[in-house]
Amino acid sequence: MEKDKLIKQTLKSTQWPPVSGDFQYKTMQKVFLLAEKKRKRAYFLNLVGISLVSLLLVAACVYILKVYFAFSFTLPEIHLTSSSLSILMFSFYIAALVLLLIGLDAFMRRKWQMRNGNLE
Amino acid sequence: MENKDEQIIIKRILEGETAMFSHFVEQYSHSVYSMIVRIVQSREDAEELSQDAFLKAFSKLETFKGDCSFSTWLFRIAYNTAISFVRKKKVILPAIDESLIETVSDEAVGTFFDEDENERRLQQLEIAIAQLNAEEKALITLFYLESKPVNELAMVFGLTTENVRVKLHRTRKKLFVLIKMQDGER
Repeated sequence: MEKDKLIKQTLKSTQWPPVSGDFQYKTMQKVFLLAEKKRKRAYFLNLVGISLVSLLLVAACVYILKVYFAFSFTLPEIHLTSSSLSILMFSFYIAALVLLLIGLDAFMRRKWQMRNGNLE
Repeated sequence: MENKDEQIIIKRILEGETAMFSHFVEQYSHSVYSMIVRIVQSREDAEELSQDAFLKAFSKLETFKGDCSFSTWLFRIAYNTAISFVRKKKVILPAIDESLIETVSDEAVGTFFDEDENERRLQQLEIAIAQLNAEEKALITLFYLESKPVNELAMVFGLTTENVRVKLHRTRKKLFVLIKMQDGER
């Protein structure tokens, strides 16, 4: 059976057109796409896994705090007086001022960068 | 390529070096294609199926245990891909009386296939090979053209080594009968 030179010769002589020249390139392109898909799927699965574990940890924390430490999650009642209202208004004023200054800083920086970039 | 080198390449591919897979594509694309093209008898289909086989091999690479060579594992995937395709197409092959195959002696077949080649015999054999079923075509291509040993063929076809030997003997006898039918001797 190992000899059978007639069969060997026929198989060798029956030549089909060879595989096209860009076969390797096309196959590797598809392999790269598949690898990217695999990488994305693994990333998504990791993300889902991490999210589930995080949720479980939070749930476990809440359960332990509630059951073992009798922790209450209800917010304390807040009574606003005129003095506390003025402090609140002042805080809002300071916050608005900070936001305005940060915005102005960002605007000036961008302008400076654009002018610098244009000069180069 | 040695098994050890293959294992190193596979490890690197699994670690993210996808480009390393081109070693396997470069090395085995011709062999895989030549086996599939004989099964499906169409260049376009064979190219597409060869590509499918490589993609399947890549996506299942982590399941490759290394208990056989990478080429054997790849041929198994390629064979299964081609067989599923052929089954869908439902090719009708000429029926042969099984008793005819049983009555042929091994000696007669051995002498016949060791004859010196001549154009007419080669042509007859080519026609006979085209009349074999997909498994038989793949079997003789891997055994005679790719010189795969019987134990590796057993892994490719999911058979025992003894079954592969029996199938090879039977395929030779079938080819002999098909040629004799062309000669009109039977």
